Amino acid sequence: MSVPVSATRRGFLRGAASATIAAPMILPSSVLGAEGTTPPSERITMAAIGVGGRGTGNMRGLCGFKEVQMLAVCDPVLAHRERAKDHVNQRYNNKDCKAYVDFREIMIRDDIDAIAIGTPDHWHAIMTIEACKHGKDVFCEKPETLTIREGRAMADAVRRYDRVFAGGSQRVLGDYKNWPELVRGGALGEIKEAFVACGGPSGVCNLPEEPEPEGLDWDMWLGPAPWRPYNSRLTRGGFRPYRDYSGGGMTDWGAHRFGAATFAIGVHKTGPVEVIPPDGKDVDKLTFRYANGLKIYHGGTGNITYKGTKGELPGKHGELSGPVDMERYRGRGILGDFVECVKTRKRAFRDIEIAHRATTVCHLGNIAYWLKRPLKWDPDKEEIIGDPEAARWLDRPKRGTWAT
Amino acid sequence: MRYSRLTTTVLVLIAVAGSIGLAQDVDLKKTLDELLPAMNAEKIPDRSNAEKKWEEICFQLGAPGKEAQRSEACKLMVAKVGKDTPTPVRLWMLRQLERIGKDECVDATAALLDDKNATVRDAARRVLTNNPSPKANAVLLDKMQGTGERDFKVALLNSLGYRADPGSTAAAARELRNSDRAVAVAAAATLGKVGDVAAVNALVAARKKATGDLRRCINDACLACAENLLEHGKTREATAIYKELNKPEEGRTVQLAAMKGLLKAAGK
Repeated sequence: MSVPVSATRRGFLRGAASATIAAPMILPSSVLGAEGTTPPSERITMAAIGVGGRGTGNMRGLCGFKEVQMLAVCDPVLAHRERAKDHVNQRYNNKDCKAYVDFREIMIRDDIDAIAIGTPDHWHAIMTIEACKHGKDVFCEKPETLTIREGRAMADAVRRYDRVFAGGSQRVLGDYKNWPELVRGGALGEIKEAFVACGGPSGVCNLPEEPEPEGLDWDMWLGPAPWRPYNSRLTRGGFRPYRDYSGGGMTDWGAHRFGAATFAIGVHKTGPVEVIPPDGKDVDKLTFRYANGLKIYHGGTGNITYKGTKGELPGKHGELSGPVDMERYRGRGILGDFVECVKTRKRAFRDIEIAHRATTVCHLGNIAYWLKRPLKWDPDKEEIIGDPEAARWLDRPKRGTWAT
Repeated sequence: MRYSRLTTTVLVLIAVAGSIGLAQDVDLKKTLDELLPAMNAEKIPDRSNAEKKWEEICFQLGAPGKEAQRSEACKLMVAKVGKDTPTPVRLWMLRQLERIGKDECVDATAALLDDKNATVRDAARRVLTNNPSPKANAVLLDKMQGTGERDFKVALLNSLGYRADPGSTAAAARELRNSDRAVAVAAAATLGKVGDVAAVNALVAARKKATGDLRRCINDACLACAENLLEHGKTREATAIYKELNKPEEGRTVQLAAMKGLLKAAGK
């Protein structure tokens, strides 16, 4: 991002001084670390950026951890940020939570250790990268990326500054019973095929123009996305079907389910070598072909279906002979995993590299759907082979002064 | 958002249906002429259908082996991006050119960088940003150096960074000394993306006097350059950058990144 924020460190300190003056005179015992609570000096101080529906859910969840102290919220929608601020203040029984329209004012706060991003997808890369530059850890709602190149840039920034990044796909481990263990543990033999059901690709946004409501910074909501007039559906969580902001159902539930399938099969650190869209003749489902012959199809009758040499899920399969050695959460759920990793500096279950690889599968599927032609993919170099125009979809130029 | 199985099926069927027999024998001029009025229609479904139909054609014309048709479609669109065309249509044409336009659309798009409509101007910039023609880089470079409008200069620098063409290094290096901090920050980010030795030299030279957010951005660009150099086997050059940044005055975040880089450069 190129335009520095006008807020200054001094400005922030002034704000903090005002907050101190306004603070209640009687301090709650939790502030002093009494009664088994974590003293402030040992807490992970956080800000929640993007506090609509999902972002608020994550923020509330994080506020539930005794190790976390939420200090700020940010959203271009006034009602969102006021609601979020009120929740945080109620949670801590004070008035300390500050509310921002511009996330860059949070980035320059040295007293904030980590951020939770709950914005639409078109903001994830810019915010993640900026947070890393400022030494902050990141919890980012899924789908973690809007384009494949954004994912790589995010991974580079996370590694460069040795930050903890956790993507918000709680379903990879949480939703599919013990299937990840069964598949990874070999109860189905070698997996030859998997079917992943989720929505289709995003497309053109032609929602009608509506008058901008008071308290909304529409330019900030759009940020790096191409300019278009306001429509209330977009700020109420209805942005997913539109390509400028999201990859549609393919990346929404796809980030969970392709993430889960590739994790269970053990191809979550690589990618397909070919993506073949349906052609109305020989191919009836979008097909991801992997170098080892594995095929993952988009579609099917359940959430995820596995077919191996020794069994199927759902269906008959073998049993596990012992515990399965695979990655698991380090804390309670996906949020607890993040909190634990911030404390221990270990890599999260949904580390950026895993998140990037999972969403790359979805993005490649979208590109193949949009362009209606097969794509050859080099998962090591992360390049589309032999189709320069398709390769132009790996990233998108951003609006105005925004850049990753 | 929950997508039902029915929605999935419908979306996939739409995708399949659209893939059958399109674009192969389409009379592009006739098709575009027919669709253009609807692209400016009052009724959203009419406009949307026309836009989608033309977009679908453009997507397919980007396929290998359809170069002549792609070029023809781009020339037809270029003829419609001028001020006589309604703005929504201009913007839609520019969107398509952003994805499939090449050499043939550079001149016409370059002219739009001076358009009175800021949205058109920015859309034109994005077309050139994603255009593989070297001519597009030259246009962006020229415009960046010529404009006195702060935000536009920053946006053009970002475009040059997106393209990461080493030909942009000298001009971006000059902007590192721009008294407007936002411009200097964008120049630093651009140099970090180009990542060659000349970019590093400019960044290191500017770093000494830089403070605050500019210094942070220069440091980040230096680290990106070091990673790039390391990847290309230039260990000595990368190590020099990491040593330069491995100092307490750079702050904990940067110093740790530099220390990590030094270890990596040493093969540890």
